[in-house]
Amino acid sequence: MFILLALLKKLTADAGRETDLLHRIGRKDEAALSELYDLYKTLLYSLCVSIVKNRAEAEELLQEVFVQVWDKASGFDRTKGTPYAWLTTMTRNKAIDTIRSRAYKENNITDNDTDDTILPLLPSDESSPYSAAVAKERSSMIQTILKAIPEQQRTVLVAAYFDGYSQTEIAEKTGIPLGTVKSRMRQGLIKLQQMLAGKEEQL
Amino acid sequence: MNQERFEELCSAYALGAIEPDELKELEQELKNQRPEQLNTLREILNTAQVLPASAEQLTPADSVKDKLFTRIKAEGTPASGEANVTQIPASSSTAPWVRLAAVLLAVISLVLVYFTLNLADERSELQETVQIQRLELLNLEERLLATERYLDIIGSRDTYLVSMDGLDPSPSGFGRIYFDPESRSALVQLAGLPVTPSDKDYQLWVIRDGTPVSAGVFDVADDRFSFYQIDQFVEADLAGVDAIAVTLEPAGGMPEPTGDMFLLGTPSS
Repeated sequence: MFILLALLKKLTADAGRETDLLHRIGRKDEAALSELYDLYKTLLYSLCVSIVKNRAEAEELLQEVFVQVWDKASGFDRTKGTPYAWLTTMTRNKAIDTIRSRAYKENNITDNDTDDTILPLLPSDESSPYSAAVAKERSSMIQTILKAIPEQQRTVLVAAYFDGYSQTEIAEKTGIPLGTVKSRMRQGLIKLQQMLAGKEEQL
Repeated sequence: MNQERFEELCSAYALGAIEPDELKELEQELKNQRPEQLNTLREILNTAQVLPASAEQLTPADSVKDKLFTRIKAEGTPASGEANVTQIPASSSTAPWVRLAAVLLAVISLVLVYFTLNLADERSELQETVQIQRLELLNLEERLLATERYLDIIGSRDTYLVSMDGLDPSPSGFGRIYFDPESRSALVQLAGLPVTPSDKDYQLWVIRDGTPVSAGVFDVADDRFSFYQIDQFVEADLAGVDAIAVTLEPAGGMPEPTGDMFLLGTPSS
């Protein structure tokens, strides 16, 4: 677990500073909101695009997320989780709500659509060369790890996290028995955990 | 419940794909407070947290930020719809009751739109509240577990206590190390240290025969008490150790000390 923790630490390296930003936002400090936006815009926008698969929709969602941050930051409690977890959970929930409410789930998923879903072949247009390099490297490393997970397991992970399907829905959409879906989900996450641990030297 | 079934439930929960009946089953199982189960759940949740960072990195248009701040500023002013309603020209030839009906209709429409939007927001907020409360429960369970582990270390009959005093960069800082030779576990307590800068980490050193050996790297999130547990401490016996120190180093730590020393103590002090 050392490496997983190390990676999470990289993802949440500024938890103290970000907590301070959230407290300031709770006191309606616009400069703090601006700073937090700049820190998280790439991560959260990329997450939105991965879920709704539409840049314009993703930009609307990003705006909605930060309006909610503006409204709810005073209630943020660091003892309940990191700013990273709070923001990514909030963003994913909003994005999943969007695709559910707009009936995005018309097409059946198949074992072959995984790469398009989790690894959209869209050009990167990071504005800061340094943060672009770091974010791309981190993203690339996790993508490489995900690609190495058996496709049947990866498909289930992606369908659940990025498409918002429950296990029953995945079974219905793919025709895979429910027990197999549960088993693949477990195996996929454990495999991901093991592979992250195997990346120790690169971290 | 066997381990495989428990892992299935944890995986579904971590990915937001768990069914309501299985969520109840998981919550019921967690009431047993079994350390190995809490550890499994924490590891699976941590693994799933990596997924948001797997997406291809894209940057939104600059206009999104402009719109965000325009919207935030606008929300602090009266709704524009109300202003429009009151600006119907008094000289209009329309009958007064028609104007009144139009005003009432506009107000009712605005109220309906407002409540519809609010309901959608409330649903989303309730989902987040439930998720936050579940995380809070897990957090409390983890803290309880950690406290029990700390007490095991502190309460051991052979535990050493080494105190460290603050040096120039932070004279008010202090630290303590409780080391249990039997389990070779150490509990490190740090206090009064500045919050770790984003590109740095505090590093603990055990110095024997003039040679420092790294014993761990810490990220201090606030200047109050922070506790860290170290398994397989670098020294099996603190009796022959010259000193223990904490320095501030580049993130991830260094093979030997390079930064300012914040805390220093000796086993005999």
